Amino acid sequence: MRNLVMSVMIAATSQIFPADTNDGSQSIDPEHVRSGSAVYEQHCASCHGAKAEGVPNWQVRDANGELPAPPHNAEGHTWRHSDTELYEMVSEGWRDPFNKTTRLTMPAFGSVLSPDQIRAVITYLKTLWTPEQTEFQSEESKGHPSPSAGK
Amino acid sequence: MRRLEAFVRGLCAAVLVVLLLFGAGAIGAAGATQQDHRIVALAHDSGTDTLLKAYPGALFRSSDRGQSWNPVAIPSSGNGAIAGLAASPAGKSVTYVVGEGLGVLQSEDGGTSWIERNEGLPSRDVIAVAAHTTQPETVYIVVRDHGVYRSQDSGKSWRLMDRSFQSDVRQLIHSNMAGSMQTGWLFAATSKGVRRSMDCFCLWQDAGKLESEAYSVTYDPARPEHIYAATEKGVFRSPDGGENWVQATSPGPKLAALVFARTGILYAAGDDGTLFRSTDQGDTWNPVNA
Repeated sequence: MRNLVMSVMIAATSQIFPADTNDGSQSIDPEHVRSGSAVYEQHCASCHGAKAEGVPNWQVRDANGELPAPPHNAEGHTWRHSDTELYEMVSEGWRDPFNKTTRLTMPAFGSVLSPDQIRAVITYLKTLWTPEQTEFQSEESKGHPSPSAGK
Repeated sequence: MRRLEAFVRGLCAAVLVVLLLFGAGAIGAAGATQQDHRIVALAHDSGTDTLLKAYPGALFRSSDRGQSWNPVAIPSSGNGAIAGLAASPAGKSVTYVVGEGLGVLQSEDGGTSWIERNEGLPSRDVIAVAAHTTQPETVYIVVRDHGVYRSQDSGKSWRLMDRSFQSDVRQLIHSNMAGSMQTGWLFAATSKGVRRSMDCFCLWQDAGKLESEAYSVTYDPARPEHIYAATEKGVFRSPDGGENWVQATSPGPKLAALVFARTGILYAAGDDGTLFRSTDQGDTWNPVNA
């Protein structure tokens, strides 16, 4: 059943995001989405939720001053970031400066995931946004793409 | 010869009329008047060490740190009133003036000439403006009832960034304080205190617990995590990006505007039009041009 849902979602995605665009915007490869979904399930879902729904009350700091893991779907803010920023956050992590601990708020996955896996999981997240959010993120990514393969 | 003299006299008269008409239109909103003595905004142009102060109907500049002031003419705006002012820290002599009914005006020559930058905005009711600290062509505005807009081409085009943001913003500033997911931070003085967001607009949060209406907010360019706020309870300063606040000395009247200049001087304007300066981060104040 889960595979069926994923197949339907990927099929729908391929309709929403044409594989080839003439304006330099991103194309979505269904196979890349499938791969990214698997990466998400293995490495991200434990904090950000199986459906990328985030932690309840993610906007409220906990006792350590840390912001809980946010949603990656349309309710979150992931869509506000360019591909460059998303890649860097997954690869290098990020520490909220108001965190009262010294640890990273978002762990770094640069030594765990390959560059292609990072790009794939970002591609998967793009299937979770509204068309308006997708368009916004695409605009933000112009001139700020993910590092390409081999770089 | 007589015909030539008559022609020259006629030409001079025509030029004079055009100049008078242009002058009247240009001064319009600026009016070079201080009838409304409330200072609504202060700004410091770090490139030229020029201090700017705005009243609802007039804009002035000082090249001697507030000792003397010269009027700056801005285009007529009908019933518009100045609400905000920003000098770009990254672009020399780039100044923005905004207001309800006024929209966005931009000058790239220190106020000698102005260009309207309202294309694509839903209205001219602009209540706050913030120039990006390090990107000379990036500027943010708050449009009443519509949200925060960003331009990355000096106001030629705008993009809605956050429609949820409240319209009770008194002032908006951008800072290059470290730790942002993007390029910096935005701080807003609001009726509920100071609010803070990374400039990705990911999440607006209360900056600490001021629990007081804030009229103005500024930061020390040499130490961007040092934030200052003018509130209904006086001046407060934060050493940690707005997490914790301590009350500073207040110079006297209710304050309407603050600006921390790159020269290290903190300026404060009372709502009665008086101007003060502090060279010790708000511990002591002296009136300017008393």
